[in-house]
Amino acid sequence: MAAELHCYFGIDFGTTNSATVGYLVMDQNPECVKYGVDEGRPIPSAVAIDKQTGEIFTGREAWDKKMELSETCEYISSVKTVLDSEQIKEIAGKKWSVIDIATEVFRCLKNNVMDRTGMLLEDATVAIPVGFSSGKRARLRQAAKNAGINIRSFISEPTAAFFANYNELKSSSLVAVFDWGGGTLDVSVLQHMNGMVTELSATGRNIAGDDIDQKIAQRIHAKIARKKGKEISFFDMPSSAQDMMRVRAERAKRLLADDDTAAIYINHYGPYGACRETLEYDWFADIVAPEVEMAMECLEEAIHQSGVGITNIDRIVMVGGSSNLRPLLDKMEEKYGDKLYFPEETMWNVGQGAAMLAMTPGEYYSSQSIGVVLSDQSYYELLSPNTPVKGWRASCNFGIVDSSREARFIFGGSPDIDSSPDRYKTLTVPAYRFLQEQITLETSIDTNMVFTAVACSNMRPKELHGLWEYTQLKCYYKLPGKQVPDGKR
Amino acid sequence: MNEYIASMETLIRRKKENNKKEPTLAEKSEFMTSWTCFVEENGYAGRAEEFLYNGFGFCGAEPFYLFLKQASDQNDILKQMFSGKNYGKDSNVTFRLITHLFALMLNDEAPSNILAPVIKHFPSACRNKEGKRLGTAVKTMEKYFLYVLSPTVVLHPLAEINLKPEMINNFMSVLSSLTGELKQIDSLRKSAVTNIDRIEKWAGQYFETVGRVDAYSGSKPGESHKDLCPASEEHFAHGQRNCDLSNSEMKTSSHIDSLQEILMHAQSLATGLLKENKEQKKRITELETRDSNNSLKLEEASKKLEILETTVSGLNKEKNELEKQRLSLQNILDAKEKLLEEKEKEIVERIKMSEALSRDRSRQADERLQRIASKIRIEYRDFMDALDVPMTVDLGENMRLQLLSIFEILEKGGMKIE
Repeated sequence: MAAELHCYFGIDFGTTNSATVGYLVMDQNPECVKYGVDEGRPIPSAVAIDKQTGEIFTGREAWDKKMELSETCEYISSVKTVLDSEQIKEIAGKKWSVIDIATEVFRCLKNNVMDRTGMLLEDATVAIPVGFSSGKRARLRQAAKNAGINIRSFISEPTAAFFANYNELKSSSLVAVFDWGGGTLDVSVLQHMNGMVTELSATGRNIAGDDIDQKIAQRIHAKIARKKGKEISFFDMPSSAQDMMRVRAERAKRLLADDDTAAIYINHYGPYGACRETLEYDWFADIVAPEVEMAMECLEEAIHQSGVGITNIDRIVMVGGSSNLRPLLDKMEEKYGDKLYFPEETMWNVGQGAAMLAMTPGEYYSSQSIGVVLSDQSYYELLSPNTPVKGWRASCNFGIVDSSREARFIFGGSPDIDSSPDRYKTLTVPAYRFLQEQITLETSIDTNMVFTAVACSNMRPKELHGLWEYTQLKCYYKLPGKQVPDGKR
Repeated sequence: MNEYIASMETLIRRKKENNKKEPTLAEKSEFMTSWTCFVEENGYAGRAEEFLYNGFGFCGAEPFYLFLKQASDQNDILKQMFSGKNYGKDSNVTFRLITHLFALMLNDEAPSNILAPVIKHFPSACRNKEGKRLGTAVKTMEKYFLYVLSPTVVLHPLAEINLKPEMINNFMSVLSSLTGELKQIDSLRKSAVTNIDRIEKWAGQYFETVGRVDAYSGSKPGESHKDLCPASEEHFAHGQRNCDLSNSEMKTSSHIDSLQEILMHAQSLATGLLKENKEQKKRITELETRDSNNSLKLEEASKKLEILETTVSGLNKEKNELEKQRLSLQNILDAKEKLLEEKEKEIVERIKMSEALSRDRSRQADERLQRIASKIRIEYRDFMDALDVPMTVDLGENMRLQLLSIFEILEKGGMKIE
């Protein structure tokens, strides 16, 4: 049999940047390709649409021309954060929904793949945050489809990061993933046991590197203003000057990771002319202390939510550009010591993990039970733990045992369902109360991990059915090549 | 054999039962076929001769003449006939047979060597046991000679017949006697009349050739030859005189003549036979030699054929082996072609992958530069913002730092500056 070339793609659809990683496989020898911009960095998730002409700018082009495009274009720097918005914008005579914006990002990624290697990006595994709602998943799937990309499966970002570093982490059973990038901080605690990866907890903050850059820029501006004796609000400065200051602030932040001082200079800082400041590390550390504190708290929160305790955490994986913040590292090392793990090329880690799982996919299994409480208060299980969720379907018939004119299904099986108000966990359908009447309950899990139950009486037309959806299905991911305990399918 | 006998017996019996009515064409044909087949298998002597005479009414002398024509030794067959058991047993049938045979021979322009015995026996066949001319002779002559003889056939010149003149004269005498009486019959057919004229001319031609011949050496003393039976042309030209000769004298002389004729004939035959024998022996020798040569050639050819057959057999085996090899090689070739096709597909895939990776690698090489460029771009932007700004100390200091920063960027980018 002739060897064939197979391509597997993983996409880290990020808040600020989206990373596409491909594995080209022939003779079982995979070659990794990182589809970045000219500098080798992931593609910005920015989309700009000219308000007059409707011309679309995406990726690096949109990011580079941010200042000039922000006046003439509708500029969306991160569609991921507004993916559940229903807002429709009319730009240059065309209606744009969030799905349409996300489609442009996917198109940009697809064109980049074709441009760099001549390959067609048709299928991909996409990394999404833990707790990404089924609605957002559905929209993301639609946006990808519009761009000609079929999302084979979703994978959580921390699981993707874990798998990308599996060789270094496989001995660890409890791993915290600390992902602090430009736009968000996401912290998850993963349990890894016998090839099964379960997300024990996930939390996050919307304060990240961009905010820190902005803060530093404003602090430096204030310093310059004081020095120069001119009081001009940072936001009243020309946008190009603001941009330049943010860039210098970001540069200083990076320089201070290794040095105790960093020089900031701008040749023509608006009305202030040529400006120059030397930043010291201590000053910098003071400025970012609240953010660092917030990040530490977030990590502790995630660990607390997982219920495992800090001592049981084996490793803390530090990903994202902001994870290299020196003040943060000082505190992290002080508190967590050698648990910290810094993967190489962190900006590609999640995308790489997604691509690796596209190549050798694992499978999602339910880690919880879902069932109904019967009239005698017994629990009838519909979905049992360790059941593969892909394409799962089940059907069963129930009879009414009392004189009520309706059949009521009360769902349960997991703490969040049990503790929710009745109206959120009850499914009601009308019934005739006939002796021969049966209520059929058809249950399924869709590709967006939504558990759906549809109930209908065999004495009633199908239109008169009841529907119950559960969008917080707890699952674990079985890594490829691993066995799991038998579960019901 | 039995079937032929049965067939002929049936036909003969049926003919008798039908009051000797004329047989049908089918019956004649059947008799002819049965007799000729029978005589071919069994020879003339014996039952064939018997059936010839008993079945004369079907085909006459025709079957015998057919048998005679195909025989290698025709004179021997005639001899068998004349010395057969049934010859002369029934004189009428015998004369009919001779007469019909003679007519068939003349029609067929038979050679003189077989005409001669018939001409010779003709006069004696015309007489009964008492030596008198048969009462049915005229009728026989009419039916079996004049009606049978073809009006257009050229009669064999009598002068060329190797017989004694006396015998021919004797024959002519009997013939003329019969034809003379036939000429008196008013109801004679035109063809018969024509044939009588032709016979007269035929006789005349003979006499012209050989002159007057006294045919009857047994004539009465004192009687002129003329008065007896001058078988001369004059007599035939001016009409015919009937002569009666003494029966006993005729018999004796005819016997002597016959014996002499027989002797002479036998001598000539013997000479001819000896000559023929020599020739035949010579021919036999030649044939034997040829046969021997042919045998040798045949043997050689057989040997060659055997060798060739062995060669062919060997070549066939070789051919089968080669065919097997060819099939095997064809299978290998097919497999190789399939493999080649797969490999070509693989090559296409590998080229695709190679191109993809090559493009990626060249981009990676470019990325390094672009990273440097990206960092320098900021410095460039900053520099350009102040390009038109009048130089100040701060600006100069900034630019110094900027330049240093650019050098650091270049150094970090891998350029060895210092």
